[in-house]
Amino acid sequence: MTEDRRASERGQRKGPAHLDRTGRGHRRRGARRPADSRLAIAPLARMATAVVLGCQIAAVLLVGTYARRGPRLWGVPFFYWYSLLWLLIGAVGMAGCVWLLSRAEATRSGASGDDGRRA
Amino acid sequence: MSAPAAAGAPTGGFHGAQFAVFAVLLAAVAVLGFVATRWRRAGPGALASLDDWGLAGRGFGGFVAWFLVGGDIFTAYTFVAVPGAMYAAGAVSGWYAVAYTTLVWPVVFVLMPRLWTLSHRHGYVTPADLVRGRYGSRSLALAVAVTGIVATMPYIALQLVGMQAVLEVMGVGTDRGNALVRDLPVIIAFGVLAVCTYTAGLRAPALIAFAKDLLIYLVVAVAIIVIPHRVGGFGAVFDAAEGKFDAANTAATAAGRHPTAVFIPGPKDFLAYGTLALGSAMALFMYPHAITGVLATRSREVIRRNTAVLPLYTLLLAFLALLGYVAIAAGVHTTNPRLAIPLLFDQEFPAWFAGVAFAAIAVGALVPAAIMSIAAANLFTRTVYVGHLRPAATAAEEAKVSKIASLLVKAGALVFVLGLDTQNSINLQLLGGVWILQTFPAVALGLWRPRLHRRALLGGWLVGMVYGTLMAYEQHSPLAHHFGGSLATVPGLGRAGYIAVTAFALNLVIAIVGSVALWLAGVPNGPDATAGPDATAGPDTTAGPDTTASPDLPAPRTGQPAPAAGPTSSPPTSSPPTSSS
Repeated sequence: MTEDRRASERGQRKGPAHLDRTGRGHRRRGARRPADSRLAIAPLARMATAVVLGCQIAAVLLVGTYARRGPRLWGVPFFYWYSLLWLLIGAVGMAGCVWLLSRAEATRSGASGDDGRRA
Repeated sequence: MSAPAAAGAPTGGFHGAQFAVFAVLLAAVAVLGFVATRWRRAGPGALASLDDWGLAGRGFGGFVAWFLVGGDIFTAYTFVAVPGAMYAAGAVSGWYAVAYTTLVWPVVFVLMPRLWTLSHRHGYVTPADLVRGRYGSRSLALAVAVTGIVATMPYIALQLVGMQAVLEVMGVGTDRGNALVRDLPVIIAFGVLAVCTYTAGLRAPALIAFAKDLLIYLVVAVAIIVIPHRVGGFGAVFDAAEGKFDAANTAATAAGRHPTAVFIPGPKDFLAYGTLALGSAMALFMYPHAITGVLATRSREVIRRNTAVLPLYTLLLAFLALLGYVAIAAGVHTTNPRLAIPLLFDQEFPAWFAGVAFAAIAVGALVPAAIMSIAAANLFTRTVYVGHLRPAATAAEEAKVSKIASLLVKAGALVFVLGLDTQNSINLQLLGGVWILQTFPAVALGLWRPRLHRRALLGGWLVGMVYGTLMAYEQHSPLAHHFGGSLATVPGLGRAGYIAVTAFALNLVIAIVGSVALWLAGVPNGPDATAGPDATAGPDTTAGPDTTASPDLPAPRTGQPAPAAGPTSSPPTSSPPTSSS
């Protein structure tokens, strides 16, 4: 197909990243370890992620567990504030998953791969 | 603050000061759209390829991507249709949007990093590109592309409806006698948008998204703090909503009609609420425009990190939805739900701030509409034009075709506005959801092994599309004979559920059973262009010396020896089986 052309066009472009704060240009050197050293942590991190995300989805979909009026919180019925509570739990949970996964991947890609995550 | 020209306009209900602020802000945004041509631009040769025009060079970091992806979701739809549905019918029609935008983030967390990886490696611009490469099937890619384009149009139309609502409340274009005069402001705004998009590509909505979100956050913060306080706090707001719905349901039952308002879902509503939430969540990131936002980011990590911060948009959506109840408590009366929020702002805010709020809604319509038209245009170009009409098209030609197609898509959206019941505007989005969800098996399940069979996928898609469209066509509301709702009785369960999910279930069963049957029969599946040692688990963050920091590396060729072949880098919940079908 036209992949070569596209790839070369991408190659020419070096975008200024002046507007990006979060994706700072930390270099991650690809010092890779043999496969066995990374297999230990990653599956655990991924299983934990699956559990966290699964819980959030299940909690929201089990409508019967929270379709109630009370107790109210600042005048807001249970049904409404409980939905929002799971939004919060989900966001915190996903932040945790991002941290876990990137740690697992950093471990697997060798010691020097870690610096980009911490800064 | 009011410009004399605007204040002196003839129409009786015309709100001059509001419109002046509104017009000034919109003009400023238009200028921003044209400035975008120069933003983050590589050089004179830029904008001449689809990667650059349609994905802004694939270089957005977390900050820009947050606004851009958020801009896809936080549309005029959320500002007008969701609170409107809350105002009219409560939880099942309105609040489900909060549940669905809660569920969408786990879905994004799982699917999108993998989609980004495959697309980045092989230069895919659209989901149909991915399907084409993954299954080697031009017809399946065409099905996905056409579905994407068709499903996007009602979504763009929904943005138009949102703009019409604020204009109507400002007293602009209330002249019902003349269709051209009535819709002229919308046509002008969309014309300007079309030109911006044409020249600047994805950079235009990305840059405008900043302005839009600043306006929206400001308006929502003020609205949610000030207005409920005035009407007696949230307790009073919910009591007023419950009182209104009880009265409405009693009246409906007395008149022999089906009660539709729901304050807290009852047991018979659980399925509807759950399927609406789940189906919409799964559908949202199958939309080409959502995928465009994701593919424009510079790294997989940007996407993942963003899923932890993007729920902030859902929180704002929740506040907006609650404004529908606030409108009830504040005594807003309208038979047209989509006017509830503009009328609330008109009633509660000083004129100049109402103008700001209306500008926020209008800009909130323009940004997603631009992204959507770009995404649909990319689909057309890559799959229909290059895939079927002119396989030898150059990069410059692709970009040019896409630019023109983006104009046509916007025109197509007008057809939906004129042709369907816009009163019940939330249905436009739900109808698009019915269609786009049918691409889920091909696109989302295509990210991992084992692959389903391309013919089974095509069959499932066809059945899902036909069933979903027929069921949606049969639904009637007091306002519309057809396409009047998105819920239908689920066969075998006897309860109402979201049509999209029922159709999706059919689709999935056919795809899986068909795949097994075809595999047993020995019918060969299509070639997998992404196959190779690294196909199941491309550890992209470690693939090159510097992938995270530099997105501009040429995509590694297929079949290149995999640097590391662990399963670790594919998203978490599904550990891919190592066998391929």
